[in-house]
Amino acid sequence: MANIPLWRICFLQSGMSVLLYVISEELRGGALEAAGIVRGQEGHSVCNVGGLVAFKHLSIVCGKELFMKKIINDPGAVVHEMLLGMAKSHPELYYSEGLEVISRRVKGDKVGVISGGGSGHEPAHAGYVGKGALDAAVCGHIFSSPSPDRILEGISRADAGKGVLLVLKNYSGDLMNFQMASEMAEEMYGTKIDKVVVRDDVAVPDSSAATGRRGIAGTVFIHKIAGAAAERGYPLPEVKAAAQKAVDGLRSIGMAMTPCILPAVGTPGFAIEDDEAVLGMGIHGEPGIQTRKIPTARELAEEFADRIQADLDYTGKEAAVLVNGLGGTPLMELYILYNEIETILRKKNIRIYRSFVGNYLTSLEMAGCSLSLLMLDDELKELLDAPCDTPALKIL
Amino acid sequence: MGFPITAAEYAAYLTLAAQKIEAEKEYISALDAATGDGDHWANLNTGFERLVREREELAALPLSACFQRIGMLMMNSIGGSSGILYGGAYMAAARTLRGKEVIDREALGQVLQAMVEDMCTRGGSKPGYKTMIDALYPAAETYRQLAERGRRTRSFSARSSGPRWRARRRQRRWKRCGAAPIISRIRAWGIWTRAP
Repeated sequence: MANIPLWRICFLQSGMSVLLYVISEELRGGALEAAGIVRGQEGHSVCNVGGLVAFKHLSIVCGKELFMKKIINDPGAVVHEMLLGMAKSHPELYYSEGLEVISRRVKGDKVGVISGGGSGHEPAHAGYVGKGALDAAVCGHIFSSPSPDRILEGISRADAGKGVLLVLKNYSGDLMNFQMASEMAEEMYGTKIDKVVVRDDVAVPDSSAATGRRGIAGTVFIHKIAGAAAERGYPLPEVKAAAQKAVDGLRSIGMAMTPCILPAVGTPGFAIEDDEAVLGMGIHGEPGIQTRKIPTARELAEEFADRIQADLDYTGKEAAVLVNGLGGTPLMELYILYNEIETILRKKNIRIYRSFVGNYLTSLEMAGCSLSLLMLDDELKELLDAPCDTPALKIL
Repeated sequence: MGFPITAAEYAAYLTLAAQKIEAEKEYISALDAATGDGDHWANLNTGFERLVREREELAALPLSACFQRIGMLMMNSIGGSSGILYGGAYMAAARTLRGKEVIDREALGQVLQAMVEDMCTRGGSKPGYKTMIDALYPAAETYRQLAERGRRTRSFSARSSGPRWRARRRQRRWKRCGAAPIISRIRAWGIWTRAP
């Protein structure tokens, strides 16, 4: 097995015997090539799904298996226990146990700003709850939208009678659950609710028919802008207008080098070869647009900047830059990348007003990164510079 | 279980469904691993465990309230996009069951119709989009047509395609594996094999 490094190997259970299937790179579109039959290995069973090998269930890449190495107690309780720890570590935050909402202890007399989504992207979104940013963050299971009862709790924790703005990433599960919860809150409490949907990932074609572009790391900018606007006492329509303006000038692109492992699953959901990187891969491992040999920081910076520039022209504009790590990439590499990005943006006559480098919106232990550019005008610059005190983002 | 169906019978059916789901961990996880995160079984099972815990309360409720409660429980305990799609469908069904004490042959048609329609509007989907609608829509549609023609709807599953045992098993699977676009892919390939 070890001498066929570029091949994917899967075990496939069929009745009593276990077939060994080898799928070559060339055949990875679904076609399979049966290489032989070996003795069964207990514990490595993958169901035979009508001839389709569910090879993602058991990922054996390059002859070695990837096992889960996580500091946890119970895979089913990771979100709960994480939030318990977070609330203990940041006493200014309140944790609604059972409903998995992190909110500020003290409600301000202002528009509430809430965000939420699947867990596994820490510090997003609970790490951005605090003065100058979110009022509440609603956490779902890992990579899975929170349910309406949790969102309702988030809305009521954030609502001070002046309305609530939802900052959502563009995923159908989030949109459906938040929509249902908003309708319930409007009906039950009479809360005024509006929303902005972040769709910054240029790797996905923008389409109105399908769900369209995903929301990724650039979302953190929207938390900051909307939070600052609300903190200034803007009414709901103006908070939304500022956030929407930021969303319209926000573009991101990412790259992943290793898969991530969901605690409840225990094995990677997909495989990336040892020497390869996937450009445009989503923050839940959604397929990217190009698989290539791992680029140098310089090549990657150019690729990122070109792809973003091709989608929205930032030439001559001022922009905030976010170089985001996906959880498994050291800060050293992110700064190396930022060094290159700064050079390239300067060459392209894009003025960097403010930069952020770090793990702002992650994907469990995935190695990889993303670049986000936020186009700024005077209003957005002021909002970006406004004070903000949250566990994961402090501007003082 | 034959017509008419009471709330108590439906609650008993949920318990059976929960046992099936519990037993088919590997199968459901493998299906989901091929198209999604691989955690659908864990979430689905949590949801059905919750339903089973409340089965006595559910059985005692009026039918419409029973479906409403099932919807809320599914939505809030399964979570994600499947939770709201399943839950929303039950809540839509609850609206058609208002004032009814049992589900008769005609009411079942309305329930199926309401469930599929709710999933389509909520999820922004249509038949042919490679979602679970591709499995549910033809089922609801066939039921409606047969009910209109006044046939014995008991045999509707046999008419969709293939022998009845196979269709029944297939529907169970579809229901179980939820949001898997894989179903239409498998169907397109025309390959069915024995359950593991």
